[in-house]
Amino acid sequence: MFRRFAFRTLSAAAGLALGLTLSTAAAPAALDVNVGAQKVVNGVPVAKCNASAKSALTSVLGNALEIGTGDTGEWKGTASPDSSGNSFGAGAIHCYPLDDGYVVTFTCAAQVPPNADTASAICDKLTAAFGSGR
Amino acid sequence: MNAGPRQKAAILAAAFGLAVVWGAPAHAAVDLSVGIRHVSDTGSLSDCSAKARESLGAFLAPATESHPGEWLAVSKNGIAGTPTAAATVRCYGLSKGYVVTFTCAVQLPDNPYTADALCLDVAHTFYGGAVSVLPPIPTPTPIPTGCSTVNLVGTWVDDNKPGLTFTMDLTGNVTDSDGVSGNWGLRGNTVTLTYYGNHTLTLSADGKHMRGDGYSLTRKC
Repeated sequence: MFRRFAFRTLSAAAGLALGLTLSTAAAPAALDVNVGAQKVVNGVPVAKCNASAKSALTSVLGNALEIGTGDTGEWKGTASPDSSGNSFGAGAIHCYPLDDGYVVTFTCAAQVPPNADTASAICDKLTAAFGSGR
Repeated sequence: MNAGPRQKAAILAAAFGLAVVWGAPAHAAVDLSVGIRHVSDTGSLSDCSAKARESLGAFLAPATESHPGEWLAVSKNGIAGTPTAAATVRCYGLSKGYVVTFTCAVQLPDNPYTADALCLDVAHTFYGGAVSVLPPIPTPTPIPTGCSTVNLVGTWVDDNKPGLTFTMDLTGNVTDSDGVSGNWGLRGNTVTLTYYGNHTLTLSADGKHMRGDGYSLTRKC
């Protein structure tokens, strides 16, 4: 009697948990793009921007690639892939030299869900990790 | 506008950068294109902004300016009902002329073209160059209206509790009239209803009733 009651209780709990799980998994994925911060740093060479960009992308997304040949200042990072090799978040940092310093911009994209961070959150993290850029 | 040596170098570097990344198939669900930068020795920030708005608008919905010289545009809704492509054009005024960067993102596989293809077209429209025809974005599947019997989309009434109704949508969601949600699936005439547990029901031949596992629902036309 008790075993039957326990079995039914466990079955009901498992069914409810499965139902709740499935009911929350149906949210459609959406592309999210953020035009992040733009900063001008005076009195510092653009090489420092490149170093900070690489460091920020690596710390936030796990990798950093400078697009093109040489010191282009065009940096990209992608979020860690899932078990299928798909990545659902990315960030770009653009460095450009000025007469006395440089200008840097942050641009990010994410597919939410499944990515935990929105594009805005990724850009905020990159901006914070970039720091003062000095 | 003729390109100066500085411009040519920038364009060449960008083109080479694109060539490097072009060969890699885009497996990522989010595909981000980075690397196209253009420097103009003439023109103002407002000139850049005008061209940014125009070049984005040639391929995407009307662009919006978040800060002076910084533009974002998204595509029309894709098959899931949300935009699947977006591009940013960011202008910065220099002592002479301006510098502008192009960054694009698409959601794969829903979007029919890559982020690189979009960015190249936007950039070429901005400063000149060959423009490719981008495939059209598939339109969202319209939600059937009336009493369509090809799927379960629509409103169903519980025969045992006439005040209780279920709304089933195209993405497989079920919501009852009390706000409780679940999911539905249909294979042949077998309905899987996840609602306070999993239930298996049978859809009638005329598509207007489903019964089983204690449930009896009738389609409301």
